[in-house]
Amino acid sequence: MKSKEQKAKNRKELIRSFRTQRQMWAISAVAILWAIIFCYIPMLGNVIAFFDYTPGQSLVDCKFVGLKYWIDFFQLPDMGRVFRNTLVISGLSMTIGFVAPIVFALLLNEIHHTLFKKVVQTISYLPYFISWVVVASILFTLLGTDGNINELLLNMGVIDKPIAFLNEKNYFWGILTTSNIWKDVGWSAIIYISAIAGVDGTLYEAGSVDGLGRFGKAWHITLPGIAPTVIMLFIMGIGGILNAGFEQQLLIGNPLTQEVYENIDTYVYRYGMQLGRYSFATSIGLMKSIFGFILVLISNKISAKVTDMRLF
Amino acid sequence: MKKKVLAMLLTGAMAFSMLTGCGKGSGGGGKEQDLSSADLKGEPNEWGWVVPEETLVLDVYAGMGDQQELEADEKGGKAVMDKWLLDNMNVQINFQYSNMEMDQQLQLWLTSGDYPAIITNMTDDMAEKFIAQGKALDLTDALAQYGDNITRRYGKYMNMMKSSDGKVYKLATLYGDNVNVAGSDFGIRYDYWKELGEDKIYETPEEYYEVLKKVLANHPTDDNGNKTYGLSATDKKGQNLLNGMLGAYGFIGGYKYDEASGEMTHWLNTDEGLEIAKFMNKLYREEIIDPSFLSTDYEKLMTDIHNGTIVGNCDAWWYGWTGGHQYWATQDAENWELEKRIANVSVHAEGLSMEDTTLLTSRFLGSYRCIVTDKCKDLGMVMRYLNWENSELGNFVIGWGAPSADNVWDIAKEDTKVGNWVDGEWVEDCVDIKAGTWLMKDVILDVDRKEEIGSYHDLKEKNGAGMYSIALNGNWLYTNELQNFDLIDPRVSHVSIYDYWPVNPDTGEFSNEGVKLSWGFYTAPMQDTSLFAVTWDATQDITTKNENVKSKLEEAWANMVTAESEEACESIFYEYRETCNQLGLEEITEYVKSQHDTNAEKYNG
Repeated sequence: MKSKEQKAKNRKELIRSFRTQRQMWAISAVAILWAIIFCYIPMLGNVIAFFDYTPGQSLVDCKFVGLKYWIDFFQLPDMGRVFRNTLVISGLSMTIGFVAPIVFALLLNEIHHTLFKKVVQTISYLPYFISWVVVASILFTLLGTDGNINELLLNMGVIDKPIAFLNEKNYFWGILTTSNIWKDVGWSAIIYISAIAGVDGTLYEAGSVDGLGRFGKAWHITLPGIAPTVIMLFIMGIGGILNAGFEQQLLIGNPLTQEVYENIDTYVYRYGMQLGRYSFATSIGLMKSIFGFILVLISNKISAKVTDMRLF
Repeated sequence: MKKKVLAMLLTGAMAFSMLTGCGKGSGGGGKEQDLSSADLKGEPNEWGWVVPEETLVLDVYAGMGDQQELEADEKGGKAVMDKWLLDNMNVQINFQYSNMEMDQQLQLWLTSGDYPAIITNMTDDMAEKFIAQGKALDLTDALAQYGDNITRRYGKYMNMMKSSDGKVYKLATLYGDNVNVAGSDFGIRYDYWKELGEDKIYETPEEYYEVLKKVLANHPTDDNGNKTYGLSATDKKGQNLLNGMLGAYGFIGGYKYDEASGEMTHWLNTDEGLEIAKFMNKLYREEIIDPSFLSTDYEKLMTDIHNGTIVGNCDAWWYGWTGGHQYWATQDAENWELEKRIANVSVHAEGLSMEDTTLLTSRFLGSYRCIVTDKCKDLGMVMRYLNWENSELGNFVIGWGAPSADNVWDIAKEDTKVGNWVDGEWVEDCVDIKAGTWLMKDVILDVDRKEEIGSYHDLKEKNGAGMYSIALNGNWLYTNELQNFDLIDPRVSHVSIYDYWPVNPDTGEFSNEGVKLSWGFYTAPMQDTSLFAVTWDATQDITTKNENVKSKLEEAWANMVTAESEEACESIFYEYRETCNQLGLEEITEYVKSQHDTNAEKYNG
């Protein structure tokens, strides 16, 4: 009964907001329409995950196969290794890759020379705009057997023979994570920098009075100040734990490192997109989304209990 | 309650729109076509074409490309060809490219039903998808009435284009014979080999290895002081090294085919496969193969060859050609000498003759297809045009551009005498030319200068060469029982729509000294592997199995080549043999064999 009353109240509030905030609704209308057309309606396309779909054929003529493609996926060879690689690559991105922009933003916040700070910040954004194809070329130039790093090590007498960094399985995850961080750290830090800017300045003054140093202020004031942003991004990010990516792996990897780079995304690319098996690709995408959504719900719940902060 | 009903209605409406929206298209593939409009009265003109009263408009999708570049027509070739087609044929061709990968574009079009009347350059698998959905027209009757050039030039291969119902729904594009010039080779820097003073060129992989060792010992560093290597890769996988060796051992598409028994065996299941792996592993361990070969792509290989870092080539012949003397002759002409080039050399495995190698293979029907879709309103006229395109003259005009004094070729108006290169010297008026001959411009007979501005490719592009190739022969245009190209200038041979090679008409020898050096050691014969074409249907489990094994084989090869010792290489070989067989390699082999048998059955009618 109470919930009925609540619902009626909500509805009334919504209708009132249409009336009182009509300018805001008018501005948002295009974005809402865009989201409906391009984000929600295409979700209907997920239905092909359960059919043996061929482009051009009506779904009525396509055979219903249920969860066949999910089963097919788990029957592909080396699934253990594929899941391991997916979780490790995403895990590294969720840990080191997640912390790096926060640390970078905190460090940047400590620079008081405005011009220098802006220059550093701008330079840090640039790699984000470089395509993976170019990043791969840079890596080949740096890490190839005839690359700059080998040349340096040889000239310094540290090694007698060049090291094939890019052929070595043991280095692959490190190279991938490092290049990911290098590429994204500046861009990802933007949101933390703006969150830091929103921290109340009087808190720092109070901290100074209480004898806090720069590290103390960062630890006791800045970090707690941006914690809601950090938690929100972490919860959202955890939904992408099965998205290890395929572009960088396929560009940097080679058959010798295949054992450590093959992940769900590269499999979907090869078995789904390259072979033109759209139902298969869709079903795996759907599976990843469902799994990611469940993870978001769980982590949101945990966050609400532990930190009293939640996404929704 | 109301909300629930509304939600149900909305969901139902969306699902209905999706279900019905997918199946657009008239599905007119099997319908009988009215060809009467193509029954033209009148005599063919000088180009062998009966000019229709109404302009024939052909809308063609030709794959991924730059539509803006085509429209911008910076070199003017489109305008020239458009004018020529309109003036001489009353034909207008609207070529369409997409910036999206071709298969993706076609899949989208299949879904929306929004595709043009003609689609060319598509894969066989994609053509089959259109055929299966009734969206490709049946060409059988049109071919019988208006496709005499096509059926003549395909010969028995037309049987292979037939579907299981005996009808023809697709044509080949860029089909034809690849008549012996060179294929995969075991190339070497000719000037470095000559320094060795050896009496004869190497003939086996083992002899090649010895030569590479000697050359690298004489030239341990390149011009920039970097260490030199014999071989590298082009695909970051080193598959070129495997393919070259498989060619020298007579494998076809990775399989050994025993003609007597009809059996096929994959290289991983043969002793020769192990020999091949051990050989390349030896080259890697002895630093003859560039250790960064798994990071090397085409651009890097080209740079490495012209810097002198890589002194050999185990791949298609033109890698050594393009990265080697073609670069030096044009970019560093002052320091270049004729013998500074990668010579293309064919080798055969011990115990095998050169005739048994498969270094140079050719599939007559090629890999790409052309279909006429159910959007076409006048199949008869389309077939008439495709048939003209497949006439000898049509093939040449479309491939080499409109003939004129401004192009690299023109039609000789009268009997005349022309000059030619003889023993490295230009000799005036030494070749007799009859009226009607498709005469080449003298400048393009100088092979070393053919790429200069105002020369071969530049002039061809300015005259619309290859601009509107729809379903034509892209290989060698020569005279045999199916076709007659006797009108081509006798000073050239090995002519295709892309290229040609100058010869001495009296001896048949290449007239350019450099070309002689490049190809003088290539004696592997052309092997027709048309019957070994395999179609992989993405909906079949065997295709997934093939993908599994393909990826595992790439991993296997890289691990074998880079193994630390011969023993390790051997152990990896057997380990992957077991893995791949467990993944279905033997089943795949059976499938490939069944495809071959079906092809043979079709071919023989």
